[in-house]
Amino acid sequence: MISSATAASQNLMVSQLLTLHQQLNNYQEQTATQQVSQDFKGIASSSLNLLTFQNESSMTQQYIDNNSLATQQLTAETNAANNISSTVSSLRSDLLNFQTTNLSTQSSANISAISNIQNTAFTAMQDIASTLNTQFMDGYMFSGGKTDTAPVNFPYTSLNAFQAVYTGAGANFPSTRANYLGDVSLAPTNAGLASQNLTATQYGSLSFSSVPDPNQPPVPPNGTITATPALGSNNLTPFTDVGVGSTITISNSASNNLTYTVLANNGTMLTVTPPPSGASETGTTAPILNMGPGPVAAPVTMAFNTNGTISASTIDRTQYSDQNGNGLAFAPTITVAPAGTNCGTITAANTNAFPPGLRAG
Amino acid sequence: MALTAALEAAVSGLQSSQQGLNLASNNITNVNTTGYTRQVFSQQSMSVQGVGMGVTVLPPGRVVDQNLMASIRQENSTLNTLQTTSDYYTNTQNLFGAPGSQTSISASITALSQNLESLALNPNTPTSQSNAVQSATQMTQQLNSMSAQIQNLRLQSDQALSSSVSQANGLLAQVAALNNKIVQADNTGQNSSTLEDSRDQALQQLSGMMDIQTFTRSDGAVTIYTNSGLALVDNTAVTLTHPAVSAVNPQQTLAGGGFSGIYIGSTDISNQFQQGKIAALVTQRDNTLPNLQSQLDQLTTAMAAQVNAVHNQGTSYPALTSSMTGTTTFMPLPTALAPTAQTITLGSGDVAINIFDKNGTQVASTTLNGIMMSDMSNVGGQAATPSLPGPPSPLVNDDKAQASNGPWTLDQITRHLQGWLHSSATDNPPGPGLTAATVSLNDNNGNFTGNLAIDLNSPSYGLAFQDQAFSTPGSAPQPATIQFNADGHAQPDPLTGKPYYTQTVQGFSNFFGLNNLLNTSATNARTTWDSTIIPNGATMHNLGVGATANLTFSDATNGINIGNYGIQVLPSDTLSTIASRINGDATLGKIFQASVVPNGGGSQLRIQDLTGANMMVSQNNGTGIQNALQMAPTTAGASASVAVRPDIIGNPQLISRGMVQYSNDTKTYSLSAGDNTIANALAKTFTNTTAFASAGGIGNTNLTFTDYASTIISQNATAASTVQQNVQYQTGLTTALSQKSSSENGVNLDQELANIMMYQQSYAAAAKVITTSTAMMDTLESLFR
Repeated sequence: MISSATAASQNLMVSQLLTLHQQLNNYQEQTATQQVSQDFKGIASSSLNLLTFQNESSMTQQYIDNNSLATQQLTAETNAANNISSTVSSLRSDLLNFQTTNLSTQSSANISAISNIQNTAFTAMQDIASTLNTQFMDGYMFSGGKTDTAPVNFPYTSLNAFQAVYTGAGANFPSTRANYLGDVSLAPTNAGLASQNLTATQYGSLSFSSVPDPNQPPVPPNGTITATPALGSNNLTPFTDVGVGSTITISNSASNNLTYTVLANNGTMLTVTPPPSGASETGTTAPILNMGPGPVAAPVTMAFNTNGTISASTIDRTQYSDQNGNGLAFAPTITVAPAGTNCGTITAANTNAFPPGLRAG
Repeated sequence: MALTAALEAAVSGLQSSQQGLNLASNNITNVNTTGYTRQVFSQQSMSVQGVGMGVTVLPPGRVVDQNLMASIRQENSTLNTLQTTSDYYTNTQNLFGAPGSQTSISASITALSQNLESLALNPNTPTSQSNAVQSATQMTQQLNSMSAQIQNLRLQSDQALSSSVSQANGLLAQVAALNNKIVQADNTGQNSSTLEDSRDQALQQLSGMMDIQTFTRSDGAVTIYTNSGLALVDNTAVTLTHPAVSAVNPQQTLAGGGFSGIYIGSTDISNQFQQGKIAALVTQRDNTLPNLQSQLDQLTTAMAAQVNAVHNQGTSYPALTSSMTGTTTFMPLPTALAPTAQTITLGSGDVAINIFDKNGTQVASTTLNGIMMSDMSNVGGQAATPSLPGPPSPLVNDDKAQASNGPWTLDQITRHLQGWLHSSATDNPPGPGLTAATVSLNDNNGNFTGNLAIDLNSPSYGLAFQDQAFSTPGSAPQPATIQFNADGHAQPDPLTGKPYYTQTVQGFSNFFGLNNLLNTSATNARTTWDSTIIPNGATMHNLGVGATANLTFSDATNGINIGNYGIQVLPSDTLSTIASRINGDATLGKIFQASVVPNGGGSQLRIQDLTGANMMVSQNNGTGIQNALQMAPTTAGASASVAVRPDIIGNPQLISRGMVQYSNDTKTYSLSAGDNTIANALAKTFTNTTAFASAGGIGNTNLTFTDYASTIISQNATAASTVQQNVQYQTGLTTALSQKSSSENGVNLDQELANIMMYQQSYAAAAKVITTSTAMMDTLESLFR
């Protein structure tokens, strides 16, 4: 019954059996799990490769998922752009059609055509505003980083409401970056300037003209007052301190004594309303041009609200410039009160009148 | 007479055969007894005056090849070393999970990277914020857990060491006792084979514990020595002692006194053993496991540094940050050293300091240099606010205008920052008018904490720091260089001629740790400082130190530059001599403990503050020593303590995603919800490579975080696999030697059966002689009837 002569050889056989059993178990586990090893030790030489592949695979899958989401967003943006493009194309073709309409007679058809094109344009504007306000993944797609703020504020639900603000005569719907509605800090350029009279010493000779300035809108009617400084004068632009929008008073003239509102100023020529009667006046009886004092107000910050209102209801006039040194682009909706100061006082005639439009990205 | 002699001879033959049978029976019975050595029957003929008088049986002999036994014991030591090592490697392999399950630390880092990519795509979606924070938390918890398990294995190894030492003591005592019995048996002519078998077995077991040498003395006693010649059993057995510790932390080392050695009396013999279970356990506790810990700590430290540097540049708008508390802890500053010590200099760039409202619109903006150069003594309520009591000691003029770009003390910075926050729009520079805002290094009770705390005390406003290239608004964002002079030593570096700073950090918020994502013990507490890893035995001269210089020491309890000049370090010094000098210093030795700690293939100088206070090591003159040693707050245990900032876990919206943007239209800074600049940069830190310092046997390398983690796993797997292969080889070798020994020493049943037959035959023959002699005697007797 004893198959081996010594205990040692018997033990050896038993240990060999156990080793074999262990190997069998190992292979059984490999077959069952379809994996070479249940720890990294068993695949030591390939462990780095395996980990690298696994990580790369996970990251690649993540990139695929992210790209898929980004593709969705790009598709949404493309659709929006296509939508805007087709809206604009459609409006253009309507405008081309409208262009062919003979409006020389006041007929119901023509009135209807005008009304239609206005409606079409308004609807197109609404469409574009709505498209630009498309949301994607809880954020506005065209708002840049400000994904929590709608990029376009177009609060008008009817053409009448729109036209009540944008008459087309003085107030046009803004169409450019100049309508940027960020909060603007304003500083008066003529602050502290004393009321003063300009006489022939400063302006040389004055000529008055009732011919409208071709660079200004015909309404309100305007004319010009031009200075011709004397030869050798050290001030070639005597009107520098006259503020646009301010009022000047001419006295001691032959036929132009009146208070005028300045519409434009290039330093030597003032465009004013109402138009002067037109004459050139020099000499000892030279007229006196009086301009009021500069504003005393501190810099004003105008806060433009998202609903199209403005927080600072009263600011000191137009010769403010914004911090970029640019003139204010929303002047059409600001009326100048005829006050006796150089820079006048402007108030928002209607706080709702400030144009909504594109916001900062 | 002759017939009687034949009868007696036959009787002796009967007895001899019986004894032979007895021995064979004993051998056969013990065929399966472990350690049993076959006893050999031997007999000798007896004769009187040339006449045979039968046979006498000699004491049974043992068949033992002592050289072979010595080889077996030696190989057994090696086998036990490998088996113990392999067991621990198997346990450490469990830390990494199964290869197919993707549960390794490498996979967790990848998961975080994936979620940061998602966050970059959808920065303002609560799901992506929460996923990113959750995966970061999961990763830090895995690091914590791995670190805890490593330390638990160290604890186990220390406790196993204690139990092995007890076992070894038992065996040594057993050998000593058996020695006495064997000598006694030999002297009285008794059979000592069984005793010798027992002793051989004890030696075999002892060889599994430690590598030993044995010598057999002429009286049969065996003496045991360690390989280096230390006697373990001579006439008596020595007693080894090793009290086990009850808890282990990553900074605990044998060199630092965190573990007890293995003592004979008061002599530590821990390093006497190179093979055996005890040596393997010591290696696991002091080298292998700390190396793995060090690798994880290096991974954690590098990741936290990179991620925090980016996260600190970011903002979490629409969640406003109205209060910030820095993680960097500063030391109190004695008035005598102000304003030279603990000062900050702007090395490059400037820091835009902005206050935003809930719309992300700028309320006020200034720069660090701008406010520091302004007089804040009467601005915006600063005078009415209690100044900053306690350390760092304020100076009278701290709120007056300071020099451009510094140096500024921390007190000056807190006062100017608070002054500006209190300033109104009409002040110069115009401030946000937040008169309740506080900036301080103290807590609410006015006690010094050492952490910069800024609280606007107005949840409607948020604060954001923006590092930029220049002071002008809208200048390109780039981290400002903050140079920190901790100890007041401002002499220029003799090599570069540039001022020497204790620490140079990129980013203002990053320097103070105001907006970290990952906090570690290394960023919070600085109670222990380590040098970089230095080759064993290297002198400072080997590391490029040309001249003697002084290392100075500071701590929060004893102040800055304790004892003025610290200790002198010579170019001929090694880490050990520096450590001895610190420990031997009359003043410093009572405050600090220096030790040389193994790490990978080299060592680190570790200096611990014995009171657990915030401490600092710097160089008094020049930079040579500091360049060589690169003393810095220890990273040991970073992986045990790393955690996502608690308020971010509570509110994932606080994770940084965007950064302060400047608009050229409005000339103001702003915050926006959809900004993903920082989320992108965070994602990039996981795909870019990072420089990892040498740690735990992995050299200096540039890898991504995931690749470094994979390297840790792979390196451990390779080591585990190698050990396993060695175990297999060594098992085969030991088995073969044992087999050889057993085949020589063990019982061979065939041989014993043959012997039995032989004894049976000789017994029958002897009996026949007796029968024949009896018959002859009867015949002879009948002659006389």
